[in-house]
Amino acid sequence: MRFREPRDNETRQRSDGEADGNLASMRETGESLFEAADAAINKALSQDSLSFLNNTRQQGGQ
Amino acid sequence: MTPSIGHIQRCRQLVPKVCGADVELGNSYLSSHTAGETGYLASKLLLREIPGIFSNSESYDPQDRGRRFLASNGGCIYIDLDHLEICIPEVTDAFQYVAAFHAMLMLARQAMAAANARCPAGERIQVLANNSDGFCNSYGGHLNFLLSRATWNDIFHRKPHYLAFLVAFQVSSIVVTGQGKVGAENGADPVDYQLSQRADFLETVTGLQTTHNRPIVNSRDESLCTDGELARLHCIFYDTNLCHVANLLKCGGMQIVLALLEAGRANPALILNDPLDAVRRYSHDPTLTARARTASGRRLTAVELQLQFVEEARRFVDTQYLDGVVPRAGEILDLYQNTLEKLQAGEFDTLAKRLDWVLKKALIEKGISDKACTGWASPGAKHLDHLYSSLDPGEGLYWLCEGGVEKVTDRAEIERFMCSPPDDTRAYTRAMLLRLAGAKFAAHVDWDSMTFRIPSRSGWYTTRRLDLPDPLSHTKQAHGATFEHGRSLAEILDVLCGDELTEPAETRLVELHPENTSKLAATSSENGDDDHEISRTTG
Repeated sequence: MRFREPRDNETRQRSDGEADGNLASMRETGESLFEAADAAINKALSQDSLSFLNNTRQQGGQ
Repeated sequence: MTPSIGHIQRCRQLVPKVCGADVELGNSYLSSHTAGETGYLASKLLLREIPGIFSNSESYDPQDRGRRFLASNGGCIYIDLDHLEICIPEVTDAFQYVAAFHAMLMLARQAMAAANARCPAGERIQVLANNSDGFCNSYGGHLNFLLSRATWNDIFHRKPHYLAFLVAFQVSSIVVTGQGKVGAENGADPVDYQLSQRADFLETVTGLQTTHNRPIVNSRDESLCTDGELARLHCIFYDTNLCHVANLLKCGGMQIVLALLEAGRANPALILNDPLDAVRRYSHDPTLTARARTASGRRLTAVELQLQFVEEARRFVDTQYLDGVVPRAGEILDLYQNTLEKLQAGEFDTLAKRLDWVLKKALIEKGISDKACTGWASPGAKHLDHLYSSLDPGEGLYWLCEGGVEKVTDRAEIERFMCSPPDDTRAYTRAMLLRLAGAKFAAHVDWDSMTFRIPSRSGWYTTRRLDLPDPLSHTKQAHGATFEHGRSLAEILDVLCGDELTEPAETRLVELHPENTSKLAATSSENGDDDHEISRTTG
């Protein structure tokens, strides 16, 4: 083959070190990722979803 | 075979991968007395709230109605086939792209709020940043990339393996770039949930068309720059993303792969045997175990194939080929690789903070398991699918989760792009001139030219045209001082039109360092591509 197999040790070191390190300062993380959406999910599922889907029908685009 | 001089020069020069985006939104007018296909009404009401300057198109075009360029950031917004379409100003790096795209979404949200404030009680406009309505209607979230005319010709007219290399990269990249979708459309086999919104609508490998029989790689040749050496790849393949990391990797990944092609490094071993079959096969399998055959006979999962592309890119980036061509390519590649490795390891809790299809799937699974929702095929599941991308911060599931999503840019940068153009592209001069001219004196605005009405002492107007032929010209560095001295519009145009004659024309081309050419020649022998032979000859 013309390409190498993935170099596990090398790539792990690179990704765990550089990627997480360099970008960590720019990222914000939250603890309860999904909980914030609970109320919106409840509300949506208490509505007439079929009617909602028909009302959001679109014309095709590009 | 002795290479031509022109061919040698192409191998030694790369074009910075300037990026744009034109994204159609799913807009509807919701009320008790309307049902379906209210897109045009909704888009008209939204566009009315956009504080832009009408571009004055001369002919009627249903795909380009009411285009307004923004004095705030140099982008534009218009109506395309009943969809509000938002276009970011030209940016040079993928991190800027994320900020600029989110800024345009915020401008669309502001327009939605303003339009809704005028609606009667119980009626409202809803805007979704998605790409299909569940009724076989798709609309695009397109990217655009600057590349050399020579590379364009290679992809579409001279070297079919370049096209196939690009196709294989895009097809397998949906593990990163998919927004996720409940169900199948357009005659595809039924499925509960799939990675991509667009996969079911891709029906051919390449073509000019965008509204039917959609191609993986669109061959529309519309450079939006008047420089004959440059071209623009109009990329219609991808889903619209909201997660920062998915957006970054989508844009940055394409920048790097296009630079690989420009340097003649298309590895034929990565080409897919049947990319149209592969894209549906990969998309319809959220377990990521589906395999597709390469032309060389290997059967690879999408993640495995993507890792091979990362390996190719890694060798390239390590030669520092991409300095000035793809800013922060090393960071992008690190994050790309790390994300693929997490996909391979099944670390979906972490990936829900990076990838839309993972986050959306988790949210819908939560709805299905916790509520009175009767499974993936239920209207409720599709309802949640749509609500994921709603721009309404009270119902949009992405926005409600955004606090926990990984960021690659911050709120300040997004807010900056809502009211300021990028400094390092022609969008800077476009925005500054629009601010000076306003609607009264701007006669015609386009991406690569602007025409103004200049009042004369006689009371008549004279017309002045400024060409913006190169996306990397007319930057703040080149012309920022011109706008700082209280000059009139006419005086500034005098300066800018005069400068057109003297501004260096070749600044966009990045020369390869001789030592890097040697490094490339050494690594290229592993691949044996014909262009690599030329690199060795010239090194």
